[in-house]
Amino acid sequence: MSGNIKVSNGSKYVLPVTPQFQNGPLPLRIIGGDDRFQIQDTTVFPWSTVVRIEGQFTSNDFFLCSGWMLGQSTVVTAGHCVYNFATSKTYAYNVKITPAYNSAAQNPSPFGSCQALQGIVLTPWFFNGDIGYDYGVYKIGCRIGTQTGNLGFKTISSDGVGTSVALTGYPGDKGGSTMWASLGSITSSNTNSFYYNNDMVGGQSGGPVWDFADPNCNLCVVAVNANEFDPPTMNQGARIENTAFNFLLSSQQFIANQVFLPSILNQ
Amino acid sequence: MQKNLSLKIKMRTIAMIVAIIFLGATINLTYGQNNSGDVPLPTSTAKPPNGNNQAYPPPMENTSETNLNSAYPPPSVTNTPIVIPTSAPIPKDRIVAISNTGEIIDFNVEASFCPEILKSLMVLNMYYR
Repeated sequence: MSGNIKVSNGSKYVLPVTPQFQNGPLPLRIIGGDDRFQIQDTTVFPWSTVVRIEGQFTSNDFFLCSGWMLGQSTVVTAGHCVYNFATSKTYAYNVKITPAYNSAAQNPSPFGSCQALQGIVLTPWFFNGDIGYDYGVYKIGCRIGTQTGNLGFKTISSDGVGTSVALTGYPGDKGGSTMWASLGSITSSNTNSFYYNNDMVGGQSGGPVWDFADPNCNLCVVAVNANEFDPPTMNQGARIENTAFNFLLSSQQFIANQVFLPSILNQ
Repeated sequence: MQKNLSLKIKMRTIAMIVAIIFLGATINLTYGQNNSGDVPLPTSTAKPPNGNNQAYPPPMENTSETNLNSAYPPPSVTNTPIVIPTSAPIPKDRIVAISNTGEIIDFNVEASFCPEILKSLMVLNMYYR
């Protein structure tokens, strides 16, 4: 994995990995305007790397989030989809990860599902609920990433303002069972956050925000979608800066012991 | 004849008296020696061998032998190691990761090569150009 790292213009990249069972990445076909649009075929890379996450923080606190495949057995999502700092101060459990979920398809779970083995957040989120560190990682008990492929990730050395970004996830107002994407650009930033004008609603937390116009890597995530504001003038994502980069790079190395593929079990 | 008979009776009486006196003197001497303390005397209150005021016989202590009477085979002693839960201290000077399993992951620590390995790698790189 680390062999995919490259540096260009002060930005660090970890390139995406295409699925082992497909012929290679297909070009992003952006249709529609700057509004959200539904991904019809979620099985096609890179959409196959976007995951739907279900879990619970307490016996009566269930949640739905989005995320993206980081490696063969690792998933990135928002920190508040791993550890509930706001209310219960508990980690999620009974967490089920389903890549490319699409309730409108004949097979809603084309790659099957995996249970999370371990949820990890960073100390600024765990202790302070710092939205600049509102990201986390799930280690999962299968190697589903070999089928879905995984996105890359990168740092942006500049303030990133004006960068075109795509946002993908499972919005709750669409039932949380279909994948949607939206296009936009970064409007402001600070050390640990990017703010952008992409449309989003609850359920898309943890979804990837990627710079689709970067010629070096048009499938590299620059932020983890995390928070919306009221009034909805902008949305916020936890920026992949050096700390996040190192954390994701370290987490990416985990590979589950399980050798069989989940789709074989679930189909 | 009656005098001789009377004399005999007197003699016997005197002999008996003498015998009684002798026996009485013997008994008296014997008790006198006992009071000296050389021979243990029967006492109404038992005393401990060491002479102090503890009850005698001394109360039995709870020994393992006593416990053996309660169960057979004797209960085995399990030497269960005491596991003290320890948690690694969370570094305050840098950001680390915390998992739901309590693991502290310091992803800031990067692997480094020792100079000897670096030197050998450089030689290899020079060879395979």
